[in-house]
Amino acid sequence: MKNKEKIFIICCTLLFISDFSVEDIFIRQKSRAVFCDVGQGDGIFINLKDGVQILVDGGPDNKFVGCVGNNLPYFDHRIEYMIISHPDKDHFVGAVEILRRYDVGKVFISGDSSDISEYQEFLRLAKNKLEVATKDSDINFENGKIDFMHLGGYKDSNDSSLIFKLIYNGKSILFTGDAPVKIEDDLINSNADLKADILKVGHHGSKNSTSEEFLRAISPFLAIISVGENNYGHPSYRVIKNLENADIKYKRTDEEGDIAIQLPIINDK
Amino acid sequence: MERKSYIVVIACSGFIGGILVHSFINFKFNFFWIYNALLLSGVLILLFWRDKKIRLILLSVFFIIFGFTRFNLGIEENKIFPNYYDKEIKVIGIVADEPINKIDKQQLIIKPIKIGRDVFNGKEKILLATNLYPKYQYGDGLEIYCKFQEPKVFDDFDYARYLSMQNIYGLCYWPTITRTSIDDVRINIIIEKLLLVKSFLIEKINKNLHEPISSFLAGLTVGARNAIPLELLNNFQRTGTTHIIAISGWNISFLGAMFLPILFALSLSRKPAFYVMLGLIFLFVIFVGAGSSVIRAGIMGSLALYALAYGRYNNAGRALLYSICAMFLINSHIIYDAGFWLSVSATFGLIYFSPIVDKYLKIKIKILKETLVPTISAIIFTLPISSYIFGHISLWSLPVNIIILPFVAYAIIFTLPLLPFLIFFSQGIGQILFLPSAVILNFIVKVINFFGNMPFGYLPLKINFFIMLALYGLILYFTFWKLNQHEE
Repeated sequence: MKNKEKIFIICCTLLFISDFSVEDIFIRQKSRAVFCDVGQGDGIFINLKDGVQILVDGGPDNKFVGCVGNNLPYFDHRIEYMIISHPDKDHFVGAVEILRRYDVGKVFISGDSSDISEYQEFLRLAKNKLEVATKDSDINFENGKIDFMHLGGYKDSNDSSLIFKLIYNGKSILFTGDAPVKIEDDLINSNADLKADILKVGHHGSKNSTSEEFLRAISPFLAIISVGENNYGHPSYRVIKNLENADIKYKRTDEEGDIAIQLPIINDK
Repeated sequence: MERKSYIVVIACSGFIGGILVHSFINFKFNFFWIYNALLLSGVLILLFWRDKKIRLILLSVFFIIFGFTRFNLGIEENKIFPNYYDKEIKVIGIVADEPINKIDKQQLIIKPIKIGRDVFNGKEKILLATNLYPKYQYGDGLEIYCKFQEPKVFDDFDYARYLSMQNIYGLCYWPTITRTSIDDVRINIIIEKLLLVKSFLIEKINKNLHEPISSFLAGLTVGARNAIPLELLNNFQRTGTTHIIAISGWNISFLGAMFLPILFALSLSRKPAFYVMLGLIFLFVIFVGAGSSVIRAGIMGSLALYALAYGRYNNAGRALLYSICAMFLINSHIIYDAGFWLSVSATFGLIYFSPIVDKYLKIKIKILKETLVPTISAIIFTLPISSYIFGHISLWSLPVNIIILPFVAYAIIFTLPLLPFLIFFSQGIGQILFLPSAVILNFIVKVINFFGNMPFGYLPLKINFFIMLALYGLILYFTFWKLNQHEE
């Protein structure tokens, strides 16, 4: 009887350890971008080989902390880069708790001010790590980099959304924050290299973003709409139609939950 | 001796009966009538003291009226708040309890000191929902501007009554808050310090572990009211395991059951070992802030432990009855608390049904059997009431609880001894020390998500109050019939 008990305990221990390490090695340590289902807002977790993590925005509440926790390797409590596209609640509130819990390297912001109480707390916690993004503040890592293409400094906070491209092993994802069509047009006219494999659709699929011309300039094979329950009619019918007309596959976080994309991106169009 | 305890049992049962009956009558009686009824039955008892039968009947009547009185006294008048409902008001008050951190907001319980220009002396409190930041703490003085609202009664949930258990009769959503210093109000310094220690520990756990493991573990070990991610919370409910995410009587009795052998090994005999255990439970309850639900968990846990360790179900059962009485004496409104009834029925099952399950369950592996027996007993006894309250029953409840419960206790055991030392450890070492608990909880979360995400197994089944009573009648009849057989 004693033996049976020992076997039972050993089996359980082995089961737990194998479950834990398999998850850590084969899921958490893999390079990927996870578009978290944070409800109505943006929150993206990017994990690269060599333990480099990049967070893009932080969602409207602490749901994002759960998503980050679900994806970080167990022993990794450092997040190398955090990029907050603009200080609207649905883009940064979850990042405050991230700053409280994790060792965050650098925090890039658009530089726009906001008197929301949570943003004041965010600024306080990020104090020594803050950097207002400029064209020169490129983030470089093995096999890739992040290019800032549009910067803050506008009156309207959506206009000020940081727009940037993650390039990794020659493939890329374009993040456009909440930028409206007029900013998209400016970018097209500036002849910036907008081409990307995946597009994070602007402003949760709002009708004021993601014009046909913009889609043509990017020509992604996949678009991701980060959206939750809302009263604004996001994602709009027009944006969905534009995507379909351009023959671009799209995924929505409100329908699929967290959307994980393996990196480097495999274009299976 | 035997007869005396018989009288106490009658007194307690009568008292509980009186409270139960009054809780169905939504009316505050004039104290004059109750007082006279109490007096009259008292006099009658004295008159008929000689006749044993009548004396017992009158005694129970007396205590039924006494229960009635207690409940009647417990009905708060709430006279002042209604004047302010639906009005924009300014309140000066202090944070009167540990703030509750939800995933998207902070909830604060405010004890008002001034409403508008009037000084407020009542016991009534205000529940306030505000932004996640800045963080507030127990004892903070606040100046609040908001539209004051009356707690609502929803179709499926009487929110007003639920809040009344904590003396909350007013709500403020997203108010404008400024901090202010309040001089002449004393807050409990001990509670303040304990809460500081608690929040320090929670912060340490959060820094060493990722979500959702961190919230889960903080809830289990220091009673953190952290925000567990919503999907996981739903899955806890769908698998009938919500009871494990907080400090419950369940967790405490399990912990006790695991510590007792250690105390025996230290060559303590049964009785002293049990008293040491009670002392440890007491310290633990104080340490996590001694909230009312934790105190209840401590009491229920000790009782269950007593029953499990000694198998003297009659003593334990009587102790349960006395504890319920004591809890009702302190706050009669817990009668509306679903958690209270779930915990009472689970403990009752543990005490009386375990011996029966134990007899029929033929499993050779001791540690498995030790967890299976109480699990099955408690689940059977909570089934009718959870169906009545939640309108659902979970088919996964039994298998999932059986799979995870023993391990939950180990996750707690591997963590508790670490907590006092967290202050010295660097991040890296902390992560290594937390590894055993994390590995276990990771598995538990997976099991719960696996079963919780099953499309079936969580069945809508709402029984009404009388069917619930009938079911309990049946279960109790069966239990005592079997126990009698057992004894003979």
